[in-house]
Amino acid sequence: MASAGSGDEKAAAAAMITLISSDNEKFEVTEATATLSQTIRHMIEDGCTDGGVPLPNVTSKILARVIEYCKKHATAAAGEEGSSSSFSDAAFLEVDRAFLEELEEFDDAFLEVDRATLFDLILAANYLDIKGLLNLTCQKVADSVKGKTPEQIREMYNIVNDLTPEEEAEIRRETQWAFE
Amino acid sequence: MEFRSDPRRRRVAGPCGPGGAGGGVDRISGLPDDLLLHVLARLRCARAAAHASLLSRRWRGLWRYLPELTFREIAPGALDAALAQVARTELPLSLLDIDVPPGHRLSPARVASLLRAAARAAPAELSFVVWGLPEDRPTAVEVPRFHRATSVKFAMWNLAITLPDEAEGGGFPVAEKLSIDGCIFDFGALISRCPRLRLLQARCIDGIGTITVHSPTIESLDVDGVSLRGVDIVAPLLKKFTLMGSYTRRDLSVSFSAPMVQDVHWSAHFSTWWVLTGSMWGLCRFSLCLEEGAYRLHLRIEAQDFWLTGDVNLKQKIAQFPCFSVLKLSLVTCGHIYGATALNVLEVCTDIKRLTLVIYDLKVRKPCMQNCRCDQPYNWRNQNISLAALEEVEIEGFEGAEHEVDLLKLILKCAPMLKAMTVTLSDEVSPCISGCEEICRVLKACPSLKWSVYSLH
Repeated sequence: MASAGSGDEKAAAAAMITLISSDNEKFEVTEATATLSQTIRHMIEDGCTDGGVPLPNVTSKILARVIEYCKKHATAAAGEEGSSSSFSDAAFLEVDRAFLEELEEFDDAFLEVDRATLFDLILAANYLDIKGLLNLTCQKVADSVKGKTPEQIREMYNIVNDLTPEEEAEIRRETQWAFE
Repeated sequence: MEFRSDPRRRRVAGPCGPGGAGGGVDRISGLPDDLLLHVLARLRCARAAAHASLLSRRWRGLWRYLPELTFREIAPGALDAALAQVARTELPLSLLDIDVPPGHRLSPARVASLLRAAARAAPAELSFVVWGLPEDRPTAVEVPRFHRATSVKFAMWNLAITLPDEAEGGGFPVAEKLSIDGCIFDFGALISRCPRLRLLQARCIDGIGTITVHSPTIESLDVDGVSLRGVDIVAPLLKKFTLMGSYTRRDLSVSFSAPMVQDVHWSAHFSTWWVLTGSMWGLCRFSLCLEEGAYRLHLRIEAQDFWLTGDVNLKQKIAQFPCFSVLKLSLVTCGHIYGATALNVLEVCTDIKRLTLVIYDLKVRKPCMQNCRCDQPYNWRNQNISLAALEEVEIEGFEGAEHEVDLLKLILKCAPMLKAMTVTLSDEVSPCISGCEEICRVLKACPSLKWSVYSLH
């Protein structure tokens, strides 16, 4: 997977950034891909990317996945920013519908990972401040618990119930509105 | 969704005890609070997020810190209780989205108290859907101040609202986007309480009177499904204006100042037709569009036998509109002679460059009697009006009757700059009729005119 960002776009070779995973693997990515991460964007702006950007919180396995996501979304980034900062839908509408559909398919396939990887991706997206990836992964978790009982959710995520029956009764009492 | 968890069946395990299916560690509870809240927010349901309190101590009461709160299918009493529990933190609420189902019909006082509770939560974005009873409409709901809201959406069916001014603790001081459905309000007062408003959308509003929008900031105004009496717009930054409405009275007043406007779609129908002065013709619809920098006015005028003499001065009404250069006049003639009426309209459209005249003879009656008042005043044929800017005329539905040829000649006479004329005959008539020959003869006599006559036969 180390080849994920190995300079396949010759034109962008001038603006390449090296990302270094916690296990010391190096990834070369274009600036456009890297700056989907606000964290890295700020580092570039501050001129602290010479010699590579160490990412001590992200393993090479996860970083490769994150880069895969960023590469795919880098081209759509401009359109997304435009639509969130303005009430005008025009910029959004101009983004090619087919491309958006393709992006959605990519996202769905991208999320086909085990739970451990999903949580690693959430943490990485949070650390690297990649809003789209954070939303995507958190949505996946939220969707998985929708309509489930607490018992089912606990089983699914290995949550240990440390509430006493009294505490549980208290919760039901204090949030009675939610159980009406 | 109702959670049932039987305490007797609870699995008792230590903090790192064996998990359920798949075994392993509890990764989700290990997430920091802000990420856990991010996940809970994506349930888009405050109730489901509150249910998560039953998972474990880690999750208890987390919902109170949600950055976005969405309430669906919730009774007003439950809503009060929930809003009272929302934690006040330095992290502001980004969205408060409340939709009380229509099964709960609330009194104005009840709506006002819910709004006050919502205002205490200080959301950046508010969406509020409630239903009132039509008989309560005379009592307006006082809307409190939403001091942080940049976007407000109200769908308050059967209700009326008022916004106290800032001194009285009301208003939306930072709102840029406002959408209001189903309730009565005073446009002018509302706009004055929203000093940063850029976009206003209003839907399904009765009894609004005049739409008064004096705003130095507004860029888009989109009003649909309203009954109104007039518009009074002074909006130096307005770019987009859409108004679809009905007019219940004849005293339409129009004042429209929007020098930056690029996109205008204004259409209206009249529940009480405007019967034109001294005639049997009534205006039932109009639309005004701004296309490629030019205003285009479309009037639909119909003849009716049963009307008494009308009293609407069309000249006065049309003079209120922005200056238009394209006119489409649709005449539903029902067999009547329309020359006098067409002229009556053209007389006040002196700046037009293009004219499209569409004749619909619905054949609902026999040709009119001799001396029918449709042909009054008879001397319209000798009238002299100025169509000094007119360059292009299109006529559809001509039958070649004598009075039609008279009107054609008159237009040719009054439009010295006319360059092109296209006449399309009604599909009811054959091109062999004498009227058609007469039209061609008249057009041929204009040497500089580019003309064509089409027949659908």
